Amino acid sequence: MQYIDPHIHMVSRTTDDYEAMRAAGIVAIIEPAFWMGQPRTSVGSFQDYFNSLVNWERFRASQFGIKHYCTIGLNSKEANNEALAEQVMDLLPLYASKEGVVAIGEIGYDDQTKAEDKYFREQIELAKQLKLPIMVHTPHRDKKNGTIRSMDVIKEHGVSPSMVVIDHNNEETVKAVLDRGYWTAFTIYPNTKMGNKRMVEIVKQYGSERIIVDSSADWGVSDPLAVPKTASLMNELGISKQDIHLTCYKNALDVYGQSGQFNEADWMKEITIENMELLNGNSVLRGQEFVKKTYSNIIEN
Amino acid sequence: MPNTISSKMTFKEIVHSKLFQEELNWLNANSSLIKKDEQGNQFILNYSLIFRFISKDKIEWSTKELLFLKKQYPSFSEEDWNKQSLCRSLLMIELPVENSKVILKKLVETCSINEQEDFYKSLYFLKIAPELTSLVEEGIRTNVENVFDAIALNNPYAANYLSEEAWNQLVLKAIFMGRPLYKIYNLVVRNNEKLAVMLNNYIQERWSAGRKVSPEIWQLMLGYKHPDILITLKKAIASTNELEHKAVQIILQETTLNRSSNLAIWTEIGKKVNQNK
Repeated sequence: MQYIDPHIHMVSRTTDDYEAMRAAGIVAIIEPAFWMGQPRTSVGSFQDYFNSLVNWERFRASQFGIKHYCTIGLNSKEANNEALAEQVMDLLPLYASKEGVVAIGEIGYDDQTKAEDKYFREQIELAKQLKLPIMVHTPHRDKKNGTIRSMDVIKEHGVSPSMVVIDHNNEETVKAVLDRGYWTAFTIYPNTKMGNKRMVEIVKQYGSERIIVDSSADWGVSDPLAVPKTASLMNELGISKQDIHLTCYKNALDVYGQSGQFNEADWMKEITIENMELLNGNSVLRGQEFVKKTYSNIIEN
Repeated sequence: MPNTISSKMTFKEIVHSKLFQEELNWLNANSSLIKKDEQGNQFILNYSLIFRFISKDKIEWSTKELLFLKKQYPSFSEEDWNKQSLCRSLLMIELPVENSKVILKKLVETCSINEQEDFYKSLYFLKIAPELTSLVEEGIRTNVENVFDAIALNNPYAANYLSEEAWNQLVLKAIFMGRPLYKIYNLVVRNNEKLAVMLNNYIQERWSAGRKVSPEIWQLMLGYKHPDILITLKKAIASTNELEHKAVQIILQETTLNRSSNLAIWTEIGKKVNQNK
């Protein structure tokens, strides 16, 4: 089966991860712009980061037969440094307009401050102007209120829920988000957010319409195989192939495909090439071969 | 060096003739916006926006057009250029010369992979091409294969404008990255003994590690009487690899008289070596 991980921060991951992801069936990924674990101190750091999203990381992924896309945005944490945020906002239209940028994101709230609210709204307007979908990061703390507030603000700006993914949902937020017509994404993350056994229960209860599974794997304890592992677990626990396909591939393709930048044909033609042919003579793998590894499908949570 | 004043007109005409009406409208509407913005921000934004408004279609060339382009741009290769790359070239050509050096640097610092490829492919067309060597030297440092190829292969810029030092780095890196040498414009013309000696060391290094070298490498060993190189060549003639044996044999027998006729043989060897890539 083929999978899309529509939320993963590959700049923090190793080539082992890329190998394992491709071997597990991941064919396309979306890397949202986020923070790097510590605050950046100058706009040049943002520019270099955006460059890596549209350039170097794309190349790195291609070496492993994975098609890499990204979203561009100012994250909510760093929106609080207003002097810097202003400069980053000036950079965004250029990077957000580039090929392979499938949404504005991840944007939204962290502490739900005034500054976060200001830049969230400005970026919703940018997405409208560029006709791009929006990927919303919902806060860890005061999650339910933050999620509802995010949807209220999006509505206020007149953006259709069909253009918006609300991410990092849990059992407490899922109903409200689905009921309002948004794409409802779940991050399968060890220790925090969602475990994948819980995810299976959600699909059993709510079905597969507009539900999306992602890993959000980054520099913290996280799992770049969260999507294929969750898919396997769903299969073991009796979820239909069709529901697995929708939640682990097709729904992400549909929502981000609205950007015009995320087309199945982009990777379909490439993955018919034998892996080893693709890997010969490149500068990242340096001639090594894939190593088959086995992993448990359970992500303890 | 291209005749930029007359080519500007004609190149523009050729590009325009390849576009659909709505593509042309977009390009024209935006060229006036670009002229108004001295900082170059509109130019940089438009360079990125080309993919949204201009299709990636391959181009049908007439013989006359190809002849013209190959004259303006030696080693111009049809398969390397689509409508988007032509339009990116045109935007760069039309940039007012006064600030263009600063603006071009700003542009390349924000480019995605496709944009960077077209950037480096286009530099040779520019009036200020000879002044842009530092940008190209920086470009050679890339690890992104497609971007490196855009600089090194089927592009006359390096052979025409790079210093010997930078040229040698380009060729060495092409060899390290396993790129097809026969696509490097004027490879043999720009060859020098310093590079041949560096390559000789590289060959020794590969052999010590039990690895082979590309048979394409031997054409760069031509005519240098350095004793170390001769020792290497004598060792290599014993190679059981047919292509390698042939390549070394050509070098050992080559004189300035048959050099130009050998060019075709090197291209043939290059194509054979790289046919699976």
